[in-house]
Amino acid sequence: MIYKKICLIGDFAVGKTSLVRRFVDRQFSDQYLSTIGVKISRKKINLSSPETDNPQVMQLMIWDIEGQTRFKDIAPSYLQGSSGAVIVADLTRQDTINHLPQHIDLFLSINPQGVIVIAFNKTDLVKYESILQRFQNNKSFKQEQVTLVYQTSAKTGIYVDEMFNHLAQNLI
Amino acid sequence: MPDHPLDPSLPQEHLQHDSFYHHFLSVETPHPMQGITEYLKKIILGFNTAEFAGLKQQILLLSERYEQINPSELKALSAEIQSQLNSVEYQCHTNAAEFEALKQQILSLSEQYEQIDWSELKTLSAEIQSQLNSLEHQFHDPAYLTELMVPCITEILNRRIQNSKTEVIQALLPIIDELVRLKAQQNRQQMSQAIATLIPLAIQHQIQTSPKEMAQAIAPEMGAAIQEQIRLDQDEIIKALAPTMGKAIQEQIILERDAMVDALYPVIGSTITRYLAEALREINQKIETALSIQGIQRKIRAKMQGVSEAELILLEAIHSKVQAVLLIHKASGLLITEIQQEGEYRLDSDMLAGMLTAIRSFVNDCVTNHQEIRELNEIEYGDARILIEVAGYCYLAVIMQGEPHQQFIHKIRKTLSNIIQQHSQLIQNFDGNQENIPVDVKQQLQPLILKEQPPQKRQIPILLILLVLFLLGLIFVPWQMAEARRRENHQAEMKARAALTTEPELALYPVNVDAAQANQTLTLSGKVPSQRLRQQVETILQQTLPSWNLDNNIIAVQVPANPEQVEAEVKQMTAALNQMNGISISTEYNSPKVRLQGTVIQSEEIENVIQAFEKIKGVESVQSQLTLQPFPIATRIYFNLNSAEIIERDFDEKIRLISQYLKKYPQLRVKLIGYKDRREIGLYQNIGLKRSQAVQTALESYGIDRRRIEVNQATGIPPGVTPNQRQWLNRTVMIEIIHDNSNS
Repeated sequence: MIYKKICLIGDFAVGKTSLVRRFVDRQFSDQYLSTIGVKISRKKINLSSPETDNPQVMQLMIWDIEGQTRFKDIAPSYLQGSSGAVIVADLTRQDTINHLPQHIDLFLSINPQGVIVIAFNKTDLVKYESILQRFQNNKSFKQEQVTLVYQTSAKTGIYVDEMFNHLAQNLI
Repeated sequence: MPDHPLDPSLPQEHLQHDSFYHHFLSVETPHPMQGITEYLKKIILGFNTAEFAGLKQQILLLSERYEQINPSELKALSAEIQSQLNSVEYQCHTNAAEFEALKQQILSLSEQYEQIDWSELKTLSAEIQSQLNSLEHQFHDPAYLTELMVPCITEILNRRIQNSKTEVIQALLPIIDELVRLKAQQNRQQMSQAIATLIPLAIQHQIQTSPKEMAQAIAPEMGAAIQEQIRLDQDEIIKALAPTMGKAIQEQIILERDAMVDALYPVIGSTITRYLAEALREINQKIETALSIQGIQRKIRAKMQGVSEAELILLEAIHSKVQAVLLIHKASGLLITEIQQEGEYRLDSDMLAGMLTAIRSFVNDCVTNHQEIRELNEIEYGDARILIEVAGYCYLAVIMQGEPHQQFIHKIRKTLSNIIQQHSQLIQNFDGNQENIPVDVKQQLQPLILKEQPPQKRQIPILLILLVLFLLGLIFVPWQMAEARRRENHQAEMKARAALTTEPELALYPVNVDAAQANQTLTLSGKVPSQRLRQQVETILQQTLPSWNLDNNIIAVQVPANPEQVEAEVKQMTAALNQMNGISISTEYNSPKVRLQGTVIQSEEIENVIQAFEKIKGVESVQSQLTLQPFPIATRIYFNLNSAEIIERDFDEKIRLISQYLKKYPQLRVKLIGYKDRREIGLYQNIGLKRSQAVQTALESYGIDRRRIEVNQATGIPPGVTPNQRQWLNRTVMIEIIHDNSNS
């Protein structure tokens, strides 16, 4: 059994907890409950590696870290030991997208070898054109460790599973 | 020696050679010198060494010529010109300013030498000018110049360096750094390779000459350098520093202990505090339970069962049961390995691991201030608890019910430290793959799952029994010995007391006999009136208990006696003694002396009488004037042969006196012993007895009670008679007084 720890980072109310809930519990709720401290969830993932035939099982320990700014100091210790991170931004709020590089830097400073996936969440609320535009504006985080960028919606569930699975695949 | 150039007789070629003279001659100048300067200006840019030499020579000649006029000044002039031309000789080019200077000099000189023969000078100058002219052309041609210069350059430089090194250096100085920099820019590799081999040596030299500079130079970046090395290859640095780490810390402690303390305190401080608190609590608990009944009971039980007390304590916590032990990676919160109690309900250990880690991080960051590091030790909920034991990169979480005892906590710590010692690297680099962790780790956790241990086989506690017997023996034996001795003492005391009671005088003065003190020693105490009595006690006891020592603490007290009482006693004693047979005394008591007068029959009686009075309390000394009065009457009566008849004469002389005597002392009793002659045999065998009887009858006839007379006969010779004496001495009856030894 392989255990891996991943963290969800991002500004507050971008949809981190919703993403986890969608992925782990297969549920979504519109109600906003601010996460305090950290919430740990677990999900078993069946990895299929093309080289070997035996399917590996990975237990993903997902640390959903709260986004409130006043707890910025605590986050580093939660991030320790993470193999990867999902950094979430809200497509409807530009400042959350602007803060992405900071989150990336913070995570990488603690886990230089970590794998990062970026999630632009709440695609269901945004028109297609503006997505493109925003996306174009923010190419600044083209760092080696950002494997991929996803546009997700916890509400509809689009690209949520793919994102997590992709991240899990890249953790080994 | 060439022809003198100013010699007009010389062939014209010389003059016509585009020389200075020619120019000088031909040029119509208002002032000859102006012409010279004009010419010089034109040609000074070029030169040809050979021509220059020629020119020089000409000038020299000129100077020689005009030495007479003004030798020194001319010399100076020529020298001046010579030096100027010399300098021109070595210059690649000059400029107008320099030339101006030259011109000025010449002008000034010219003013001084107006009187000089200008025509000759003109010729000379013309010559010079022509020469210089030719040189000028040459000089303008850079290619020619270069070709000219090239062979000479090395020569020039060498010679220059030989002559004056510093000047060359000075000359080159300004450009050297530029040179190197530009070259480096141009081709870095080459430059570095060129310098590379020198650098180590250079550094060495520098260190030798000025080590501080070297250090200062490198110092600022030392840290970054080491960081870089760590990034590249961590182990190298570790291997390099490890051997000296211990010593380094020691040294630092010696140098500046406080810094060390401060450095380590955040880590150690809280640990030590915690351990100290625990130790104190443990000590406190021990003190409380050591003398408690529970503690003693437990100890007894432990001894009886042959089980260590610690195990009993462990077992006492019967509710204590460990449900699970988790080894968790500190940073990530991932589960490294775990052991859980079989059956029943299985903990969701990886979730628990994550949450515990999150809580730990939260507590560490929020609750404690950042100077110290404090760790979450225990979470209690209901009757269960989670014990957390934290190490560097991992921690153990033990989920259990009941009260954890100190020994168990020790066990946990020891297990954790063992695991860390053996697998620290693996744990530190744990990446979530549990297969990387050896089975050994899980096995080491196994003992921590406390189960009820079956009690150990009961050993016969032989040692205990022996110990108990020994203790009992220790108590019993001396007790018995003491008892025996007590009894012995008691017996001795009784015996002594019994002995003393036979002495009637001590009835009044009780003496205490104590046998309890030392070994085989009687202690005597009490008060007696006289030393004599004291001594007497000792004597008596020595006789009764010869094996015992006597410690005579009896005090002989001289009781001052009442004189009247003493006198009365003396009188009483006198009367008593007088009643005894043969004693007739009178006493006079002058306190404290007693004077005895009188007679006694036997000599022993004197001593007895004196002693009797000495014994009286209050009588210190007895003066005796007692005299011995032997039997006043004849003690033998003689008979005729074969006769038991008393001779008549004897009746009056002896029998009568004896009877009178006996009447005087009515207490006295006499014994008659009859003897016989050796010839009196046969019928007269018992003549002795008959003779005694005859005397008895005779005495009776005089009024003496028969019962006072004892009759006997004896064979043999009467005392005092020897065999060869006359036989009639044997035919006798002895009269002896019977002593009544009742005067005690």
